[in-house]
Amino acid sequence: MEALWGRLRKLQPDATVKAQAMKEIEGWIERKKVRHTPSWRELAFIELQYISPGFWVMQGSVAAALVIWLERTSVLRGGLKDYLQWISVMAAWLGVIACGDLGRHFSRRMAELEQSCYLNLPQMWTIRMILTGTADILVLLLCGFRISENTSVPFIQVCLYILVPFVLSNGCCLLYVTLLRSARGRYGQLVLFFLTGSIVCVCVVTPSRLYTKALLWLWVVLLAAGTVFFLWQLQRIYGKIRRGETLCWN
Amino acid sequence: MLELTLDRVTKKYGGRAAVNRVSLSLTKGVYGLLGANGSGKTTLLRMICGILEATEGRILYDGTAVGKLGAEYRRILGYLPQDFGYYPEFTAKRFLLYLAALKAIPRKQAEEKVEELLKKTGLESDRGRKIKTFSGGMIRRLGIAQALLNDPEILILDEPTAGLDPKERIRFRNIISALSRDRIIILSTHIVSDVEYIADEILLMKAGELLAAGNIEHMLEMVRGKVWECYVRPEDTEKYQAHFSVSNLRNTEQGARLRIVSDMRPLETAVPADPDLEDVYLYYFREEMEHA
Repeated sequence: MEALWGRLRKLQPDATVKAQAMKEIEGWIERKKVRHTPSWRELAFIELQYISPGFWVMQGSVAAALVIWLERTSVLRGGLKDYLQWISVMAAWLGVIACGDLGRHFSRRMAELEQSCYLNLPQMWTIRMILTGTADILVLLLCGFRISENTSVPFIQVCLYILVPFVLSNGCCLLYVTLLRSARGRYGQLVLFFLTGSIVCVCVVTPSRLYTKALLWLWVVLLAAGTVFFLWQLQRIYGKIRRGETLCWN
Repeated sequence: MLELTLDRVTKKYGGRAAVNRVSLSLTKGVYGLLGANGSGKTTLLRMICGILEATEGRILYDGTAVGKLGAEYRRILGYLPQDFGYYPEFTAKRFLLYLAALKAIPRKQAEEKVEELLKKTGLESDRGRKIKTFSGGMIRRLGIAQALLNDPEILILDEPTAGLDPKERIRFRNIISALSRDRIIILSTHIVSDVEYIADEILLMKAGELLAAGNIEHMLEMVRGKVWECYVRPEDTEKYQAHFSVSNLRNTEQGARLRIVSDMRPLETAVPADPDLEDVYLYYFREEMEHA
């Protein structure tokens, strides 16, 4: 028995080595961090939470103005041109507001810091554009549906007339954001944003045959070109951000 | 094993190299990146952070290119840019919670961490104030707090003490010293005293190149025998300043005491002195200082 006990005692680990091993394990446990990977829903929530209140106020105002104009024209039994006159301008403004807000990251000199975070600038922009773009397009499609009902013009045709200024203004605003990044450039951006909306206004008010069925092909081409232009701007700006070319970021 | 390797990292703008073939291997500890303005410190740090693409060379984290790691690399990174921006309408707490969200820290954990860091940086009583009402020093402290939110394994601070008063500097040094055990901290500055007490290694950059690297003792050894002290007549000080790199000038009863950094004995009466880190800096950057 005594001999067995002696042998067992020999099997006991060395106290110093044990303490050392335990310390090492504790260190590993301490260093081991539980890492959280946010879901798409969480990412969307983060973005929604931190979009500036001014952005929501402006978007809401334009959407409300849109609805009021729609109802007013409906009561006055207006034609297609009466509807499109302001809706096109407001569609352009929705695009201007949506993309204009993205420039805030540069004008507030936050882009460099945000780009170093887990959720970086292109990811933030993508989520934000999906959220706001979906909301805007939904509002515009609803308007298109109402106009189509009131004027008997096919829904697709009305949507084309509304979406062209929206897509083009989005593309133009992305271009301004890359061209004028600084805090002072922010004022330049605002001027260009305003001009974009105004140009659409002038185009719509000017009497022309643009809204006839014969020129529908032109609207299809414009929408396609606008979409390509928007995607090209997006690719260009994301490439610049990825390479860090927009130096100094701020 | 925590290791950050820079392998012949180069950044060129047109024909000019802002950073030229910098090779380094960084493990746990505090690294003080010293260099004059325009020496390429910020460009190098931006590349380490992965926000600026290197023209040539590789940056590896534990053997994997940081570009490949993407978000997983950014997750372990804390960064304070030299030009630290903020949303002025945000309160300090909201700003930190916003960045915690971008760093994928769960809300509850973020709330606790934000409170801890606000306290650590002395901003706890200003948590509800809008950042636009903050002083320059407070904004800098907020910047330091945000860099620590995710308890980063790699902490990169570009001119962290700019705008801080001496008391705030000491507080900052203590925060960094307490953190230095388990991570890589790179601290860029042109203020020598910022790194003198806390850096384990000094990296000297000049004209985009890594001029020297080593611990403080090694750096001091490099200029030993090149630092001199002598007394001159007060009216002659300008003459000596024009000819030599004078790191200190003090008027005493015996005359003006000059501390000169020079390869050769500047005066017959000059005696060798023990070098400090400022002398090392002056030794390597004397040309810049002469041109300034």
